[in-house]
Amino acid sequence: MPREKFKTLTEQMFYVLLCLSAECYGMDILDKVPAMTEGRVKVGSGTLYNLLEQFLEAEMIRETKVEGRKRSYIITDKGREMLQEECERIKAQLKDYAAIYGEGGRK
Amino acid sequence: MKDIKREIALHSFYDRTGIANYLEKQASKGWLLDEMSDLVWRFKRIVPCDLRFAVTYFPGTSELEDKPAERELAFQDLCEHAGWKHAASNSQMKIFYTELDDPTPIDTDAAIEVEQIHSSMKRGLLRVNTLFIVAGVVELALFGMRMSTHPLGFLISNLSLAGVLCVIMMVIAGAADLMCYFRWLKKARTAAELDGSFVETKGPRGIWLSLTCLLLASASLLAPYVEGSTILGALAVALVVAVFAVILFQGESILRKLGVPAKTRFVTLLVAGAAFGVFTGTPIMHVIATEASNFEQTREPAEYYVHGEIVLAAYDDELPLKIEDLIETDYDDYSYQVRSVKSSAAVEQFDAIQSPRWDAIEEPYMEYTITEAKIPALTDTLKAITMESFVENYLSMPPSYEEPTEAVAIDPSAWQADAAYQIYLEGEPRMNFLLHYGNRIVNIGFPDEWILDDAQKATVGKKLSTCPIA
Repeated sequence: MPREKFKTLTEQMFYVLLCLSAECYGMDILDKVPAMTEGRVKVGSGTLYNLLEQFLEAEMIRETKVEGRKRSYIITDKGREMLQEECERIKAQLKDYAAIYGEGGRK
Repeated sequence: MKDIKREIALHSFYDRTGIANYLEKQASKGWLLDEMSDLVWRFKRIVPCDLRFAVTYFPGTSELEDKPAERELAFQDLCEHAGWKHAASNSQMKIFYTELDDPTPIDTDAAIEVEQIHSSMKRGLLRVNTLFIVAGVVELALFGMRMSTHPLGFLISNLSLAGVLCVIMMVIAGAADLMCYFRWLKKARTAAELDGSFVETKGPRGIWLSLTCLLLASASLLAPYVEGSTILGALAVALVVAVFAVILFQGESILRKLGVPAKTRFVTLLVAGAAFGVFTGTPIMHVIATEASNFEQTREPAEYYVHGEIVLAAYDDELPLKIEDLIETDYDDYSYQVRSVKSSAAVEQFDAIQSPRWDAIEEPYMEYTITEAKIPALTDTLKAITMESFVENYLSMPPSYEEPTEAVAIDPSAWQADAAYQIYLEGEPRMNFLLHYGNRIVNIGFPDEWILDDAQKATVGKKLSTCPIA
């Protein structure tokens, strides 16, 4: 059964929303995400374009400025809420992990 | 050395893996894609280099727009910011390349990418396969008309048989591509959902398999029966089809360059699909009709003679059955003429007449047509066709319009046949017979005054049931 849209966020979705906690151009997100994650997470330009469209449609972000073809966005309350839910989910996972393997990851 | 080359586009629309691999190979050989349409890709010469290509899909592209929308350009800007340069676009497909050794791919989320491909395919597939279906249906309708009005002429023509096969395979090729696509889509969606991986696309094996079958089948149909007129006819047909295919698939790009508005181009494309079927079908039908009706005139008359003011021909061809096999005759000025010999992969037919000269018209004549089904499954169809023409084509002298002609079943044993029929006109038997010998049908006619005895019937059966036709 396919996952309900945005029920859980992929890493790319998570970090795009995180970048948009402050007003940001779409292009800048391409550089910010790898910088924020020390290169661990990268978002493709095509994927970013689609994610921004989907977040706009789901009202998780909103446009703040349009300069020619450059657009800037910022996260909405709804987006922040979903980000928070995802964060809680990850924390719960960490807790479950620590219960088995301990805080340091070694049993 | 040329700086531009054009190639026929051989990849399926959704085959992003195969397309990217192919373009990378071309770049390593010094060719960079710079323009593409449904049928043709154009490459420009570059210094051979190691490039990475990415094929991505932008479903938001509309054929009804004259130039890329702002959204499309914004998309391209994002890609360029990441180091990808735009090479070419064709409707929803966009191709980028980069010189970076380890670029971030344009698509990094498999689930999103698969849905983008599917959204684009729904529009691309619709266009291309609609053209195939429209053209294929029109072609098959034209063949169906020919089959219904001239069934024997249709079956006895290799071009018509190959033509039907071509059209059917064209439709199968389109359907095979669709099947390959939906099979990939199911796997790709499952993989993206399960572990986020992207299932690479494979080449259009279905299409190539179908086209290979098409070529082999057509070649095997035509090769044993190639004659000069058939080769010319086939070349003419191929030329017409090729010209219309180029116009059809390049039509949009040509119209765009001429400044025709987008909506007009779209409607033109749909109309062109139907016209494609008609205008390729018409010359095909003409060539088939010509080929089916022509008898290669390699047999010259043995001599010409004059009767009154008319010059007439007399022949001396080899006939499997002659009047002399049936009766003793002193007349030695007969014309022995093979009127036609036709052969296709499905049917063979031999038509002959032995006739006296016009100054000896009281001498008996004999004419016969032997038709044989080479494909056993066609035997019953052939029997029905020949029965229809046996009744319809009987010409009584003088013509009688009082009662219809009918074919009456008679005792076949004297003819050594499986079945036998005789023409009856106004209730009176005529010396015109239709005889069945397995998958061979013989139509034989004599003057009405000549009542054949059993020995003569047996000779007819013996000679004509087994003689070679072509």
